[in-house]
Amino acid sequence: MNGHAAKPRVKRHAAVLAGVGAVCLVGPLIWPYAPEVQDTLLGPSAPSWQHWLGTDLLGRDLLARLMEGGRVSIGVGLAATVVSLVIGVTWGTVAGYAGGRTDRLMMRMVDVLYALPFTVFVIVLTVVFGRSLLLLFVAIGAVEWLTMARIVRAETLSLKQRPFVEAAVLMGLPVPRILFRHVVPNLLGPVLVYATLTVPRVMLLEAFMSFLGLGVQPPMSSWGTLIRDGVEVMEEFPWMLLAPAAVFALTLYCLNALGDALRDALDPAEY
Amino acid sequence: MIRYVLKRVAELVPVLWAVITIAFFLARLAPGGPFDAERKAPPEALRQIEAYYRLDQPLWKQYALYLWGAARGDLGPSFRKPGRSVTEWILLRLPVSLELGLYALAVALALGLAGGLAAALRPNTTLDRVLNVGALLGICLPSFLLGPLLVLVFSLWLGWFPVAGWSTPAHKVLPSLTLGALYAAYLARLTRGSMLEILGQDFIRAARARGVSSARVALVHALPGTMVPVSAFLGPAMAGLFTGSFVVETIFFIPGLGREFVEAAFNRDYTMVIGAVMVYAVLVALLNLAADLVTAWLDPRIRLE
Repeated sequence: MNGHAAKPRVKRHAAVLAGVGAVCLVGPLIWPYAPEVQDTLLGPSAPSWQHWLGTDLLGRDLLARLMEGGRVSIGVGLAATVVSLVIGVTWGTVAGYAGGRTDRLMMRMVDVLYALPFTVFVIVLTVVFGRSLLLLFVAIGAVEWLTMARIVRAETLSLKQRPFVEAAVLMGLPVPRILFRHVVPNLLGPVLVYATLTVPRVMLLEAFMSFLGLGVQPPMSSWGTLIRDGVEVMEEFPWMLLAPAAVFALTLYCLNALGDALRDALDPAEY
Repeated sequence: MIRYVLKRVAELVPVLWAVITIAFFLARLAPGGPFDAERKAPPEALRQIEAYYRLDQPLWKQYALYLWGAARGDLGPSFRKPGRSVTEWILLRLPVSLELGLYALAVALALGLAGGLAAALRPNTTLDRVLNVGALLGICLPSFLLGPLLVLVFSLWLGWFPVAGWSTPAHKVLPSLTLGALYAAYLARLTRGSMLEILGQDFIRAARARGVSSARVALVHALPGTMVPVSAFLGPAMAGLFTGSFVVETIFFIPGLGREFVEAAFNRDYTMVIGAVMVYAVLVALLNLAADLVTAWLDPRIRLE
């Protein structure tokens, strides 16, 4: 793919994602049913004109729950990505800029962490610190920064040789200022691409943990817990599984495709 | 070569030590002991329990004893499942996970290689596009979605396979497919890309010019080179297959290490959690080593340092 053909793809996938995000954000304000209101007389009902996606066992409107869950899933995805971004970019620029033994030591630590199975690590963290939402995304962000650190370090190494950075050094600017004013802004391209690809990974991990019951806890729901609920009753009421499954898969697909397209659009030659 | 293997295995020791130490102290740091939630036991019994689990000793001594035990393969008693030691539980559960991982690997290799090669040999045809969509589906449907969907269609609606369990061969089809699908998808894309790149190279054109049949060009000339990135991918993939079966084992009620680990995480069974984490760390390291060796063997240009 060349950069030229990638732009429409960026727009297309970004539009779908913006649509999903907007529905989750604005939808609950417009939609007449609240996600937690039960209608036990109605119970589980198939999709209809009143309830477009049907209702769950307690008669709660599935579309409302899906939008509410989307807020949590997307929120966790973005928040954990920001955590991984901050750690990864800081770690990578410092290692790359410092070079020498500091660099070797810091990257060696990344290698060691790489060798550990991630999901295992996140599960261990939930064992220790209990199952809270805050912890969940800190834990995910804390294990997802490794690749970011590697990418950023490699970029920093090459940026360090560039004349404008050398000029900044010669001017005697303090190191933090060189890093944050001259190095980091020039990392934006690759960082943006990788951050876009991190969001679906994080959302997947969140849904995975929630599916196992170790992630988002009731009464809060996310797409992962909705899928889990749907699986339990899929024989009698398949729509309870199919609706969250479809939305989740669509979102993951678009995020991955958006990341790929961004990469092609920003820098067709690299990677 | 032997030196290289020994060096890599030796590097594993500090990693394992770090894993044990972090897991051990994290577990002890956690608020609440494993026996707090139970009904209040008589103090005498509680003392006996604590003595049995060495919880009455100072922390540094517990740690030293645990390290000494771990070095000899004794991972202590399970907090939640008395009667068997953690080592015994692992020996009981791990083979099931390994078996499942092997089947899933077979699925991934068969579907991934066949699909990738077929797509690469007929690029930009309908076949290629269909396979591409299949691969995308495999990547975008995580196992906790694919598993239930497969059960819904093939067990509940069509009745071809049992819903859950792990005894007859029929039980093993859906879990293996579920676990292998993601890796089949990645492998297909990797194989396609790698094969296409190699088919564009000069030595392939030279072979074609010499009149070598196209089947022979594909299988004898191009295939070995195609396998280099594939084998590099297989190490992490196998690590993922053998250690990433929590969800599949939970969905299909398979008595493997993954489900045991998730259960232990739920019940805060510290010794079991630490034991499973160690097994996973060793497995991942050994599989990555094996993959590096195979990759170096396939491509002599790669030097083992």
